[in-house]
Amino acid sequence: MKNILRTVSEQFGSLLDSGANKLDDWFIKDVHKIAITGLSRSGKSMLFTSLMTTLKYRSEENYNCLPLLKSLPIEFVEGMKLDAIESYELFPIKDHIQSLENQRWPKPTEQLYGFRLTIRLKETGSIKKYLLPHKEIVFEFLDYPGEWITDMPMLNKTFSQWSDSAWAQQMTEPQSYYAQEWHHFTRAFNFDLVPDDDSIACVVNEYRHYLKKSKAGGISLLQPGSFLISGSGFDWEHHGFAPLPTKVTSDLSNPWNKVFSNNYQLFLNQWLKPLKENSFKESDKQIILIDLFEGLNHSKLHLQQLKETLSNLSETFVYGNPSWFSKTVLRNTAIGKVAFVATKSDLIPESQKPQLLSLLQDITEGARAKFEEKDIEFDHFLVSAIQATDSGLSKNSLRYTNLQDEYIEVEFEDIPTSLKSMNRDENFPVLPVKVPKDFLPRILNGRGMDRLFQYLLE
Amino acid sequence: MESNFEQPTYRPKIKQTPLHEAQPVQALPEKSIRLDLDDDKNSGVSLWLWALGLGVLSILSFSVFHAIQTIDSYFNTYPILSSFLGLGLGAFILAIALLIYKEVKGYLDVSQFVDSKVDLKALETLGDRHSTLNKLQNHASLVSKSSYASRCFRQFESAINSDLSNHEIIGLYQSKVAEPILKKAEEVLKKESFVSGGLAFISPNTLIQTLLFAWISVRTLKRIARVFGLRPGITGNWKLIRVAAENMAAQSFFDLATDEITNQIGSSLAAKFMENSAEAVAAGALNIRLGKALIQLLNEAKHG
Repeated sequence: MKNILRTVSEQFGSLLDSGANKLDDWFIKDVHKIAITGLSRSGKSMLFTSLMTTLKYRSEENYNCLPLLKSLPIEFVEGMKLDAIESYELFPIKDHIQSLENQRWPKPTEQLYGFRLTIRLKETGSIKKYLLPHKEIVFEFLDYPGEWITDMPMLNKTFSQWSDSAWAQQMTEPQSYYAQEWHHFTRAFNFDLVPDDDSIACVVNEYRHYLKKSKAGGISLLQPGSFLISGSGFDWEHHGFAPLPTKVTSDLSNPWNKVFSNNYQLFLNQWLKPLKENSFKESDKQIILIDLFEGLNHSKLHLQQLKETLSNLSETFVYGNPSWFSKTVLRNTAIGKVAFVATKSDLIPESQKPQLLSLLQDITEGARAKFEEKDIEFDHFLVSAIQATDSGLSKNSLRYTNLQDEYIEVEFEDIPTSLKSMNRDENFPVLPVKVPKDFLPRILNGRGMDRLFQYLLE
Repeated sequence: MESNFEQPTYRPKIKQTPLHEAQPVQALPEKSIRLDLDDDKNSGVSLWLWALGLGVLSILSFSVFHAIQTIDSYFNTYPILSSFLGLGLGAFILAIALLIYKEVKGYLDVSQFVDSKVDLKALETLGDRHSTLNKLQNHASLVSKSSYASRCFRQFESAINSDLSNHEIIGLYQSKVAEPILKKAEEVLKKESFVSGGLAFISPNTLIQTLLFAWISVRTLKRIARVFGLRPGITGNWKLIRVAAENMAAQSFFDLATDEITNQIGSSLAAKFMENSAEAVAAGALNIRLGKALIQLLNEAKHG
């Protein structure tokens, strides 16, 4: 009898606790679930590092950073804390700061991080401040490798469909240059042989070699990107696959076609579907980070491909603006606000920023077309998570320190305002910027983060 | 057939030149100012006290001088004393001249401040960030360098960067300068009105009450003007003095009314308490009216 009573009282207690937490959530918490989507090298890790550092120094040291972030007024911020979301790893902010202290850029993300940033604000309303003396703004972020994002459109394809489209992409510029060795290999390989572990590993490794080479060459549309990083939860070494020449995929009885089709299905079912369900589902806002310099540094064709990749990616997410009932009671979530963000905007002179913004708007055209007939709010932003460069002598120039510690002045010609206005034979070579020694003030003096987060909080 | 794609070559659209200097070190952003900071206070003895002191000294000196003249008509016999008296008189005249200069300057500053209206709506319509910044900087140059308004403006300036649009600059000006100053001025006014009410409550008679009320009115004007970065002096703005005078007249009228009511009720302690309470409330309310008039006048200059 005692045990029954104890169990009942424990159950009742936990019910009360969870009820109290729910009430807290309703009355004092304002939760923003933000998915930060960005291709590999788009600056996600640096953006998180900068955001957390800036908010910390703003709330604890009272530095006048993020002046446009009116929704989090400095004078009312009581404190902030960072903790991991249940079943996710905490973002390695300390490691990243350590890297910056050693004048190295933070390592790219190779695994999934989920973290919650809670900012506690003093309540200022004349009556509210006595009833509920504070409120909390909660940001929930998911950081995942950009390579995983590129794989999401594969969910809508069969192996032969994916293989044929991958093959077609490899035959066109700019991939065609990087795919030469891979194509040479497939021409020489006998796909009539019965596949065994060694021969499968040989084909998959050769394909990975092509993917790695293309990635180094600034190609954005590379599938499966999950094969490129060690943190992915799929065993590609034993269940790998690669696109096959059309003559092989068109022959359904070909043993290679059968093996790779099976492995492809495993990849979708064991890796991509659960990843999408668990990681990309519960967000109501989205930041799409775009590194336009990946394209500008290489060629017009690279930029065109970036545009295509972004357009394909937008198919992956669920957009819409569910009603309060649908959102709160039925737990339907959809992304209702999107921010397209061009990162690393300190890599061009101030005078060229309007052009860069215009180019960003052009690049997102295909992705934005998916929002038509839906009540989706969106806007475009330029952000520099760290102001690593200085202004130069003329309005079209800037200065930076390169990896050899030389301080360089760079004079820019006009950045194209759209893809159409960029010539095929011109580019803006990459600036190998070294992390400045005074990285902290340069993070605190970063640009555009306040405008971006104010937009998301409004 | 083997594909043969050549590595593409591109014409770089940037030109790089090594410099023989090191990258400059950036400074941390300025720290945010706290709203509960006191507005700038006059340290030391005010010019008014100097003038008063020197005036008293001169009167004393002349009295002594006259006394000496009366006692001893041999002026030439006391050259040091006569020199001292001459110096005292000279200093008094100098202080009076300085005081007049300060008053005139204070008056001109207030007039200039009010006249140089920053019409934020018009600046927003024009959409030119350069002229907006110039206009705001010109307006800021009129405020006292150590004032709360000036500190707010410095904070606004430190937050400005080349990325900000005209609309964002104006928004930032509102949140970093106009709104904090208004809030601070309202805080000062609230505090002064409590003091005003308190003094009215404890003052034993109407004369003392009127004198205290005049003093607190002038102090309120001065403190609020300081929040906005002005040192108007007493004659700094006739419009404000007129409001202060109206207030004093209203307070006197209220005194008469409460006296009459007290006479009708009788002179019990409870009646006296009620009278004083009513006068305290009236004094506080009139002080708020005075402060609000000043805030409106100075704040108009901010918002146009």
